[in-house]
Amino acid sequence: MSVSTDLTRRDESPATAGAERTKTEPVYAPAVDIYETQDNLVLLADLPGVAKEDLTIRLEEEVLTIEGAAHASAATGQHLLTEYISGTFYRQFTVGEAIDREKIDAKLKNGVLELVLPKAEKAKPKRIQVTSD
Amino acid sequence: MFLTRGSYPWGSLRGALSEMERLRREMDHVVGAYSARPEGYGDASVFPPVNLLEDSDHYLLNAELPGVGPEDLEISVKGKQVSLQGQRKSPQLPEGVRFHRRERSQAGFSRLIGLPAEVDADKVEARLENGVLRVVLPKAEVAKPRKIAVSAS
Repeated sequence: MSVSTDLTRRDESPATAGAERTKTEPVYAPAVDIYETQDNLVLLADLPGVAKEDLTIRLEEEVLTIEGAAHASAATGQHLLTEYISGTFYRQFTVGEAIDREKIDAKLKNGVLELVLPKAEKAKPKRIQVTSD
Repeated sequence: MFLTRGSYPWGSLRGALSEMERLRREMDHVVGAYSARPEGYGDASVFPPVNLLEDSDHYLLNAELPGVGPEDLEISVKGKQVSLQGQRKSPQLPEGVRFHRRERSQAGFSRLIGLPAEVDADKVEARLENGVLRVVLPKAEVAKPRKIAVSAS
C-alpha cells in the first residue's frame, strides 16, 4: 500500500475562484518548486517583496494555503518603465494525509519561502512474538 | 533630455508585454484555471522585471529578484547605463529527490537598463529586501533640472 504525499492543485476550487477581493490589486500565483525526499516534502515559492509579517501559511484539513502581500515601493515619481506591479501572492495545494503537522517548518529568505513538510511516520508492521510455555 | 514612455519604444514595449502577462495571470486567477505550462518568470518577459521611476534628483530602480542574495548580485553603473548581473542559486538537494513541480527558474541573468540621463555613479545606493532590489541613482549635477530666474528688464 502506498501513502500518497503528492501535492495536487485544487482546480475549480471555490476558495480560489470564489470570493472576490475588496482590493483591486493583482493576485499572482507564485512560481513553486516542490520536491520530495525520503523524510520530507519541500516547497519553495518565489514571493518577492513579501515580508515575514505579511505571509500567511495555513494547513487546514488537507489544504495548504500560501498567501502574502508584497509592498509596493513607497517611492513616488514619474514612471519611466513598469515591468511589474506589486500585488498579492496566493496559491493553494491539496496535500496528502501523511504529513506530521507538528513539525512543519517555514523559512523566508531573499523573497523565497522554504516550507518543509515532514512525512508522518507510517505505522510499521509489527511482528508478534509467540511464546510457548 | 527626458524620455517619456512614448519616446522610449523598448520601455513601452516591455511595459505592454508585462502588462499583458499580468492581465493573463489575473484572468487565470479569476477563472481558477492555471495554464498547463509552468507559471513563472521568463515567459513573455525578461528576468528580472524592473520598474524605473524618476523624481527631480534621482532615478529609482526596483527589480524583483527572489532567491538572489547580495553575494549573488553584481550591479554596475556607467554613464547612462545600469547593469544587473547575477545568478539565482539552486538549492542544495539531497540524494534521491523526486520533483513534483519545477516552476522556478535557476538561470543566470544579465540586464542592461538605459537611463535618460547620467547619474553620479559614486553615490548610487542599492539594497536588497525580501527579494526586491531597490537602487537609488542620484542624477549627475548636469542632469538635474535647473530653475532659470527670469528677470524683467
